[in-house]
Amino acid sequence: MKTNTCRIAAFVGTMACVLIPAHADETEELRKELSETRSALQEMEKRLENLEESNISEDNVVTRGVSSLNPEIGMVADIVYINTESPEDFEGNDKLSVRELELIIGADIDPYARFDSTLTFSDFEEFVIEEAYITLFAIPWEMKGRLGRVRPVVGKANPLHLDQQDTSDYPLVIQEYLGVDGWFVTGGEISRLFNLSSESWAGDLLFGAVEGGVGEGGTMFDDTRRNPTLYARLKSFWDLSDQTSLELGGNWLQGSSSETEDLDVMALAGDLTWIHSFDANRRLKIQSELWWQDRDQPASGGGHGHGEEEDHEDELEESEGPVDFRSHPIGLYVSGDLRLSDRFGIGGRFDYVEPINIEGDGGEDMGGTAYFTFYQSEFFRWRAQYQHVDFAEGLDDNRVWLQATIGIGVHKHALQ
Amino acid sequence: MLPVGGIADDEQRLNVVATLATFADIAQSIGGDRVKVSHIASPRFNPHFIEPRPTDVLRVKRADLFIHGGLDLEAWRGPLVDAAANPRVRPGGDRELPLATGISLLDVPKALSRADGDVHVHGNPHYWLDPRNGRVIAETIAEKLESLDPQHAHAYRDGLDRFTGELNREMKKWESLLAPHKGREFVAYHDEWAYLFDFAGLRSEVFLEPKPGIPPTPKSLLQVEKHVLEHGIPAVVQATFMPKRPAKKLAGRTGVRVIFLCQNVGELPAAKSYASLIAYNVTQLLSALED
Repeated sequence: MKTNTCRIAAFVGTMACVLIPAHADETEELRKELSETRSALQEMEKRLENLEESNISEDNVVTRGVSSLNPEIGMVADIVYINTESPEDFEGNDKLSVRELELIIGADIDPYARFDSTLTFSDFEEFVIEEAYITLFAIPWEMKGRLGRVRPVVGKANPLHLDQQDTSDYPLVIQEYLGVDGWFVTGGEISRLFNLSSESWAGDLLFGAVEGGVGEGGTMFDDTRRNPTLYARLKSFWDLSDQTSLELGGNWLQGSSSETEDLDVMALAGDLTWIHSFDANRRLKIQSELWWQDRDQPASGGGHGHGEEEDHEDELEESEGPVDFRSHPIGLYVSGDLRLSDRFGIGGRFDYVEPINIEGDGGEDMGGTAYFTFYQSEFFRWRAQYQHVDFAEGLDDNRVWLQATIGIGVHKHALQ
Repeated sequence: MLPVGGIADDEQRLNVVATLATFADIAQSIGGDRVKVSHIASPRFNPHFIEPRPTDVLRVKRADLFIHGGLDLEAWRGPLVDAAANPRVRPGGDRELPLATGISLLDVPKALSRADGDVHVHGNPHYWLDPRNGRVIAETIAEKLESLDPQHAHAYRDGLDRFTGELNREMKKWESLLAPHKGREFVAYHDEWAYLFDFAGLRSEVFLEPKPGIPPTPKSLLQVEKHVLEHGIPAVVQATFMPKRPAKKLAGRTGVRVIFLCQNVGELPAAKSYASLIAYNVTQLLSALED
């Protein structure tokens, strides 16, 4: 009896030693599985919560659908204080002004065309339609067209709006030849991007035909609108690396010097832009344009392009003899912009321009500009700029700009 | 990556252009030698601020398929597509593929104002950093490739299976390594890691940027410094292309580690594919958590 009891006890003890750990293993496994299931459930609950938050009610779908058809609207404001030695009460001299308020409206018209416009207001200038053009995407042979009021794509500075410039003003050669605010005019352009064998090179060939005239104060062409201006641009772009690029451009323009002449002025321009990004936040850009004209008539209209709104037509009519002018005036600028960080940038520009009509000693305009930019955010930029210009007439000017440029809403200018 | 069904001619391959290198990598993984893939944004630069070049415009012009994030991260996408003048890749075109479809977005704003900085209208757009979304992206791309090239649908499906198979295996490993650290908090430079942290069970609630897209100020850095010290934050995380000085300053004052994560494939040599991008990020996070 005693032996059987011992045997039973031994058996029970052995079974306990085997079964209890086995149960413990199973229990541990079940606990682990339960914990994993709980985590998975929590994750699913969280994803459901996020989905419910991002889900849109029926009413909102209708409202959102309707409002999605509204055009993209944005605004860029340029508020500037200019201090100058010039006595002219012009172009915001010696006062704080809302120099430019651009209302930018654009939208796809249909799958084949898009409309973009820039309406420009100012507290010292008249309202202008700076741009209002249709872009056509479905033209054969991979071409693209623009029709309407455009900033002609000639050179590098003219196609850009004032807020896109590296400086607070346009280069003097642009101001003198094409207008204080550059040249924008009504007409059409057709262009084609292409490349040859290398994927790191792209070419762009463009032709344009627009109405006559240049921008306010520009002297290259006469203001007679029915005398058209023709132009072409060939751009060559190299991806030297993912940090560095080089662009060379050649431009040809043909326009009219007066109401009675037709396409008698030819201009050629070359441009170069070199950009190197040191890293994601630091970048150096060097840019230059050289303009040359071939003409046998003086400039008939416009001012000097640097702040004097004189109408030379009266002068020409009243002059006793032929106006002395340059047959081959040239103008150029070289600029450098260095982005030091996400917050700060510095830069400068050298300008040289030969006015078309020769007055006095027949000198040229020459200027130097230096600036400092502070980027408060992606949408707000402050700039302080100093410029010294020696004008052809023998005068000189020292100017300081204090500029605030802001953007609100959707504001996307076309790629350069 | 093994060639599938032989090497196709250049002419027969679908010309796929993606905005980001990560999307391009996934497309290449799915498409194999049936696709010729390129991307616009160099992974070394901030994808918010890319200036497309004429060569990029030409690529999109000639694209058979244009893949993009679908939200508002790539604000430069609109002007790029306008310049390319390829009607088929314009919004709604049959050769355009926004990848946000099917993604459960985080941080969808309830109100919109630039007073809150550079807010993303539709929600946080950095969704590809969650490998669970990587599976959704791969499925979306595979479906599109199959519809454009049904003759080789089986090849795209095989590519998808290989991609998701490898990803699923790696995800199990990452999840088990990260599980003990659930709930831990990091500080980030910019709010671009929400999806990665969501997958990893981690969180980031304080950022060096006082508001999205607004550079850190001395005052905002002081507030972050206080948070780091009070909460025992293991590290500050940021992408390699974000300014390094603010985090360095913070590290100098608090001793907190600064670790660099990758936003996109190719940003660092270690992130040469989608799986290795996530693996690299997980490894970096673990190195701070286990320190």
